[in-house]
Amino acid sequence: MSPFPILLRVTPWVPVREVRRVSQEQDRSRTGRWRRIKDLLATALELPPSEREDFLKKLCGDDQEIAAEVVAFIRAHDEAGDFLEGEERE
Amino acid sequence: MASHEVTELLGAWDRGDRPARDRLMRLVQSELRRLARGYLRAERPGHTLQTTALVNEAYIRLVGQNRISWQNRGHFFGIAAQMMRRVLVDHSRRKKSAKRGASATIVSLSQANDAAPESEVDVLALDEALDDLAKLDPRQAKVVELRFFGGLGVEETAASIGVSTATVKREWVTAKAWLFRRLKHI
Repeated sequence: MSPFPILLRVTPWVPVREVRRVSQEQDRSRTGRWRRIKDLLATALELPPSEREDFLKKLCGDDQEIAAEVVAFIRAHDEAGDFLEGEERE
Repeated sequence: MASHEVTELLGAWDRGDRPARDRLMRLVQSELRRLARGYLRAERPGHTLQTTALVNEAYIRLVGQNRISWQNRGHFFGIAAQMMRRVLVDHSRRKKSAKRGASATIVSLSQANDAAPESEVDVLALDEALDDLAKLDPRQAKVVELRFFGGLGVEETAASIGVSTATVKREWVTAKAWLFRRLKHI
């Protein structure tokens, strides 16, 4: 008898593993994407507001999606006011 | 509870004693629960709970006048922040299930008498959002936990997790933008 039926029996596991691998990759890429946005956001926020747009245009270049995300976060930062802020322990 | 016991446990944990850390967590949690009960009993609509004050009080009760190292102090507040978060979340859940439709607990780090509405936060929503941020960026979520639930300053936070103050500042400012966007749906 050929080993074929055995192989067929194990194949249903392959897609499951495949799905898990893909979702891990998505997680990694989401993490990487946030790290990139975070770095751009932090640097942009250290600049005077008037220079932020130029900075993003220069750095994001062809990636307009990332630039738009950073702009949305800058807006959130500006609106946040004293969100989560309060007195600190001395 | 003798305060020198906590000091000894902090020292033991520093030397790599895991059970000491578990025992500390239980002690800090029960102390925070006990303190929070007093504050929460007096809770009324719109009342704000001062997490910083609670954590400070727990520190005074558990560590007292004992001299502890900067590092152990960081350890203590790291645990306290984590436990404070748990106490508040448990309380909010109980309240929500007891009174369906009642508004969630509002906490603020600001002083109750001049608390601005902007600084008030729905604990359950924040807890959930922080879990999601932790999946994306664990260290950043930790910074928020320490600063918001533990009331740690930038330098204390930096010492507690072993990074520079510049890093803490960047993590904090960007985390706030992320959480604000997430919680306000903007």
